[in-house]
Amino acid sequence: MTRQSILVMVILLIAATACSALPGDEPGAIVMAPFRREDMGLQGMVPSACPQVASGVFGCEALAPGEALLALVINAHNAPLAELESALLGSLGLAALPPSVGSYRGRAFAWQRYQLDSELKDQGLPPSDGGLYRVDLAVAESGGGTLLVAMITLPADREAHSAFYEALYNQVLYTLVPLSSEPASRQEGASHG
Amino acid sequence: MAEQRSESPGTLSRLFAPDALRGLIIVLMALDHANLFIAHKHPVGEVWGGPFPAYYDTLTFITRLVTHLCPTGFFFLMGVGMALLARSYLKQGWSRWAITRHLAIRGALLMAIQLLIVNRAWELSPGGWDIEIYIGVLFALGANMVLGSLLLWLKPAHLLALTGVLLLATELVVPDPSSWGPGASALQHVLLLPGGVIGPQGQTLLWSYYPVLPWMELVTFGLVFGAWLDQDTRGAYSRAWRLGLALLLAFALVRYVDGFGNIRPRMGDRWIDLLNVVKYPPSIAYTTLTLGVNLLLLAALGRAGLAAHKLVHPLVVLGRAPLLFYVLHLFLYAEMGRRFTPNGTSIPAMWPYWLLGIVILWPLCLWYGRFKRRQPLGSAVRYL
Repeated sequence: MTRQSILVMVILLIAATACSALPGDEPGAIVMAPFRREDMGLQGMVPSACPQVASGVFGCEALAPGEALLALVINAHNAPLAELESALLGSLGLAALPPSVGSYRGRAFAWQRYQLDSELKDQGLPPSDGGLYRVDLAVAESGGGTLLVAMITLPADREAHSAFYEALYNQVLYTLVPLSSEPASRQEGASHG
Repeated sequence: MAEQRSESPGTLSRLFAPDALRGLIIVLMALDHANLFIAHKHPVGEVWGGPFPAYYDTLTFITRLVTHLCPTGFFFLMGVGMALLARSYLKQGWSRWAITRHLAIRGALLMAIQLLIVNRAWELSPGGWDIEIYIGVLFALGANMVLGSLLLWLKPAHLLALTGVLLLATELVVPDPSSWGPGASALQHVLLLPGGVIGPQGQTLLWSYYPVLPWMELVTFGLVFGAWLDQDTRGAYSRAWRLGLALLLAFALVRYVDGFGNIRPRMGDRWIDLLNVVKYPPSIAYTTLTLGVNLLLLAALGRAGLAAHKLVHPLVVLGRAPLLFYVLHLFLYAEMGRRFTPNGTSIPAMWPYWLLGIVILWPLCLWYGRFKRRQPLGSAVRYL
């Protein structure tokens, strides 16, 4: 073994030892798992770390980054948005929906997006520092019915919100499609190849 | 410049570019496994059904993406190596039967090494390991070497046709992603379909990420490319360049259309979603992307000048002792992770460990590669 090889090894060993003292960071990826609801006639992908705690409500408190994602809500209604609006505004504590922040085309649905901060009283959510929660809401009208997908995050963590918005919320919206006829089941695998 | 062959008296000559490419993908493979054992950042597998990774961090995604080149490169280069070896051994006076038997025995040894040695390393995975029998890449390489040894003497045109059939068949035999779950037999998982057999107490009796047949298309194409290399080395690299570009164009088309060839639809419309493809089994999107890049790299290495040869010589050393590196690096990174980063670390902090592992194993590969090449063709060492 040459002197150079030994030198490189020593340098790398020092660097590795120094790096081992650094704290680990976020995993950088979220595992998405198939979601299927016969009653809503929908299937898609949701984070596997977000168990369904109520009908269409996925609790996500332990999900990186920043553990700022609190919940995902996926709901389908057999009524147009106009008929649902008063109940929706009531649950959000709003008098009117804010202007849409844009549209998004998923595989099956065209979504209108809204973004708002709300107190979300009596929703059983963990406390937020400022008393407000960031709600990203997407609405799609299809076949006389309305689909609603909401992501609820802690507004203080902007970086985490951005990550969730790009990598998770958009994927939920993109992958949500009408139910196909095949049944689905789950099987966990090894974590590497 | 023309491809250089290195020769030792009484042994066979070797092409530089395939060895250099194999060395490069060994280095990338080591990154993937350092990511698992040291950083604990390895994502869930990109399987045909069930869970699928969604990336919110570019570095995490790139770290995974570059390692997608590895299995494709290993299977393809194995086919290339088999074709070149067969032709060289024929010239040395070996019979066709003796060559087939040699490769079949070597393939069986690779399968045994997966089950008896490599799986012991996977048992050291952070987070535990509850799989009784794991069908990994070495098993599939070995099985494909056994099968490929029976195809060695087919004409390249027939092998190309078989490659096309296998490419389409892989896509056609995979069920709809919504049917993910238990139900397939152990034999189906070993031969055709990634997934597992779950026991009555919930234990995983068998798990397969690398069923044998879906990867065979790369070996048959490697056999074809090996024949091209043997006939006209320079012409083969020109073909590699053109084919690589064509495959990347095909990849872009398959992903844009987002239908047949993807096994499961895209997860979104970001650039990451475009490149985040189904690997288990290799979808047409995965194969066109990774084989395309592998061919372009091979063409570039094949056309490289002497200065570049010197620069990438360390990769050639690794590429000439792949099995030794493969077996040792898993245990080395597992031990590094256990000792130094029991709770994982960030990806940049993992890099020094990744490089350190390569630097530690490099002299061993150098010694083993030289030792192996000094052995006569019939030696038992030639099997490993």
